[in-house]
Amino acid sequence: MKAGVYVCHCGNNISDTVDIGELIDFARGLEGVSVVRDHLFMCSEMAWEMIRRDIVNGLVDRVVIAACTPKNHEKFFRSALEAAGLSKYMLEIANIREQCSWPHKSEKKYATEKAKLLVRSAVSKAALLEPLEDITFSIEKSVLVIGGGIGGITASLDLGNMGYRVYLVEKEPSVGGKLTKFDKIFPLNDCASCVVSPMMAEVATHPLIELITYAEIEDVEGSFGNFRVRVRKKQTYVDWDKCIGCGACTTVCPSKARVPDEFNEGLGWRTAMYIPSPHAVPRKAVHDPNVCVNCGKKTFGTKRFLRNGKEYLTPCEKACPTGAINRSIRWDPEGEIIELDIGAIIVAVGYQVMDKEVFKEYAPHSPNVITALQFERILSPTGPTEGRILKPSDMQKPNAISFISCVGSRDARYHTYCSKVCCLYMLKQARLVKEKNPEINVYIHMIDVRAPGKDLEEYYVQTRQLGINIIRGKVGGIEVLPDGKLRILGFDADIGTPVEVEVDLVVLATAIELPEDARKLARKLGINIDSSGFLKEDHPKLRTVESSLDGIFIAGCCQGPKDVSETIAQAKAAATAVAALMAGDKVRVEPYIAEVSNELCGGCGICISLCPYNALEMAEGSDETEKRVVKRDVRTCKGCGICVSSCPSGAISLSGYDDDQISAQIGAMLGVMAVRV
Amino acid sequence: MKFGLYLGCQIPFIRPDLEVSIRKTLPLLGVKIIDLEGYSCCPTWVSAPSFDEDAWLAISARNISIAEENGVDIVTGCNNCYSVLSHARYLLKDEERREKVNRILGKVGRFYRGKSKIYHITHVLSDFVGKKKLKENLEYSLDGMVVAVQPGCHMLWPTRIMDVQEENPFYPQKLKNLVELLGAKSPYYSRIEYCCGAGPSIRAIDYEKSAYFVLTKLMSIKEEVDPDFIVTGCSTCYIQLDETQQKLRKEGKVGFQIPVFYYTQILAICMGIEPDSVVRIGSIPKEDIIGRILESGRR
Repeated sequence: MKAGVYVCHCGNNISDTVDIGELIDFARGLEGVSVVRDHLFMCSEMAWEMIRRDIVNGLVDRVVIAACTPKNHEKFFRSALEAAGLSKYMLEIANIREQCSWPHKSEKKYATEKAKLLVRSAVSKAALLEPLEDITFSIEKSVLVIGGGIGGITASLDLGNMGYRVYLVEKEPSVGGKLTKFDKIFPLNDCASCVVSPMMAEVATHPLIELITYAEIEDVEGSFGNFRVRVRKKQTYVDWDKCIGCGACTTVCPSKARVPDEFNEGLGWRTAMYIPSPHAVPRKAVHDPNVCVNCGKKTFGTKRFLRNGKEYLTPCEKACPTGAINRSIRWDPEGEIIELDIGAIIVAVGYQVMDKEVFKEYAPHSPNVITALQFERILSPTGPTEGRILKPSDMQKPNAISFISCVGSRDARYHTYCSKVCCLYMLKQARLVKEKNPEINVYIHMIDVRAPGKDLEEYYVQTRQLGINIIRGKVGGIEVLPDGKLRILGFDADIGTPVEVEVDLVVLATAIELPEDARKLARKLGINIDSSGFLKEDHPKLRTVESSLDGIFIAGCCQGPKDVSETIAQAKAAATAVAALMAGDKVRVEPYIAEVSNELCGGCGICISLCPYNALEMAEGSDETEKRVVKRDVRTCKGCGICVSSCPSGAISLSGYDDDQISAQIGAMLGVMAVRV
Repeated sequence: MKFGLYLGCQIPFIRPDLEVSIRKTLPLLGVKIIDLEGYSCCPTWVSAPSFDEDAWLAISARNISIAEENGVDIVTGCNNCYSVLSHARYLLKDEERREKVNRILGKVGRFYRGKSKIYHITHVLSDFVGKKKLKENLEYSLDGMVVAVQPGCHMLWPTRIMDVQEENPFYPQKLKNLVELLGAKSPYYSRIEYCCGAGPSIRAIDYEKSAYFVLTKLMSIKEEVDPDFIVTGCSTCYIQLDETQQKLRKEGKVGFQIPVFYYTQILAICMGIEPDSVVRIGSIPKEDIIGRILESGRR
């Protein structure tokens, strides 16, 4: 064995704490070490060349790097080995930065001793390294995009246009997401539906994009290149192949069968037969059995005949010109399961805003206290007031409106993060009020106005010039006056006194958060959630659209609060990342997976019950004389090692981390050179 | 039903008639009162709690430990005591704090376990005595009268520290329900949760500011409810609304007068207890109201 030990100073990150000279001397004395070198930055091009040359010159046949975590530069060092014609798996990294110099800054002597142990341990393992080969798989060239909001639509269109097959799954009956509810969007104050509608139409007609709306992800198996996804298409009780979206059924559905309208954020009503919004794509009717009153006592799966022998038809059945509605069919309430083979997944499931009911101090029972999303519906020409600014309580014009910011955001009781978009959308809404009805007094209560970004500070200044009162200070409460007016108990931090404002309508900018069903989806996919409650990206700066799992990407507000332009930018980034990953025909994965010895396996099956990835199964012998053994699936095994530790006969080993190698590492760490298990 | 009566200082020293009203009503409603002998100051917010947490918690824990010794929960009439003791009990659920406090209490031969809960008198009446028992004991009714209630902020916030909680402290129900049980109407008014102005010694530091709170509150009560009288759940609010209202009248800032009662006072009168024994000290005359109640005749 000729091991080369390469010690990095990491500028002074390591060398300030660990005595490099002493470490080098120590490494030189280790058995099997032929070369020891150090460098100010081992991740530099010059150091790379130094390692490569040592291998080419025959000085070194395996490499030990003492530097930072393998997460940072393992790939880089491997490339040096490959370039020199050595298997890239003849590399071992001792992490003497994150695991030594950083945590032990104040104890230099101890840190040096620890670094020696880490290096000795790595050298011991290096002695047992074997040249492994990468495993390659073919890639399924299709992408699943979960969430049909502006993020999901953008990513789908980009990927479709690049030639990939895309399945766009949306849980609502229509794509478009929250953006279809907005009136206008900053900074140009252009109409939101004009932005999103053409994209919705395009995504619906794109030859490579298949739209699966009113559907949710049931489960996901497999890994990058070969996901197997089961999608549950919820029951609409309407034959969508026949439905032409005329809306005739929705007009005859009786008004007693009604619930608050989701599209209008509860400010209006919808019937049991409904088309979700005027912009709906696909424009198809949906039946809601929880709301249906069973007109004429005709339940699903039954026929009813009148005295004259004619079949009785419910109003919706009668109204449908194409026969898409047929209540005598026994529809399966569970809907249907669609199975998809997928190469990569983009999660763009969006956000929800907090409910006003949570905030007892803000008189949530008053109909004139509304969320900003509800006010967006009031401003919109497709909303319950057709764009006129009216109070929900009596449909009269308000004389004064107060906006309250940071409701649930930047608040230790709920969410400590800033929801980022509230300041600007409140300014936008205030501005739309002033443009439509300049006589309405507008107050905005803010902790402070956050308007960073292109054109946004200018937007703020322009808005102020319209005569909007911006009061810096947190609102403590809202009191309801006998005439229904609302008294805002505010604070003006600029003059340092409490202020009270009496208004007719209050708009709460409630916090943006990840919906509960998105959290469930994250569990199904196996991706992480960060401390703020949003989906976690793999690296906050370098890998912002990648999740911790290969082949699963995230985009839009499910990763954190964002405005439309940022969501689109991230969706495009995610689409590009997917395309780059799938550009090759094969995917190469590290060979660190479990190996089962047929000879030793007793076929007890303990490992099968423990495998978190369902990668193990029992292979029955071809005849009775042949014994049952466990088989491991190369594609699904993640190399977690749980089966290895559970096997009573020691029949399973983990390539690259086998018992001998790990024992050698531990032994070297403890100072016992030979530990056998 | 047994409770340890923690009177505090304000009620027995400044408004002993409130103490009489408590001592006369509770036993008739089946509540046995145990006096917590040897109790000290709670200690009130402007004393130890504002500068020495250990001292505060030790003093409060000592007071609560007396109730523990007697095997009873505590009932207070004063919101300040209620709030200080509840807060201490809440903080002492933390093991570290509890150990520290018990090391201090060891010096006077006491031990705090955290067994006794802290209740306000309105909690005992609404959640323990109950509607039925209360109604059985009423002899006079407040039929046709309108009452503005003032529960007092220390009984409402912060709810997480309390053993009994209002569902929405911005719309307190307990005192309102107790008043309506006596036959009166008690409508909501917008300043119901508004401070009386006696809070952390504003009254002592800045009379003008303190009086401004009373004026704001009274204006909201007068304009929105126009009640026959006010009922408070807090002895501090009771004194503040009564005395400062009189001062505001003399200064010409208000042209009306609204009598103020503490809840057990009005309860005692409705229960047929001699009004003279439970209503003795005050600024705004209450005779007119008492007369009207008694005139309405026994049920």
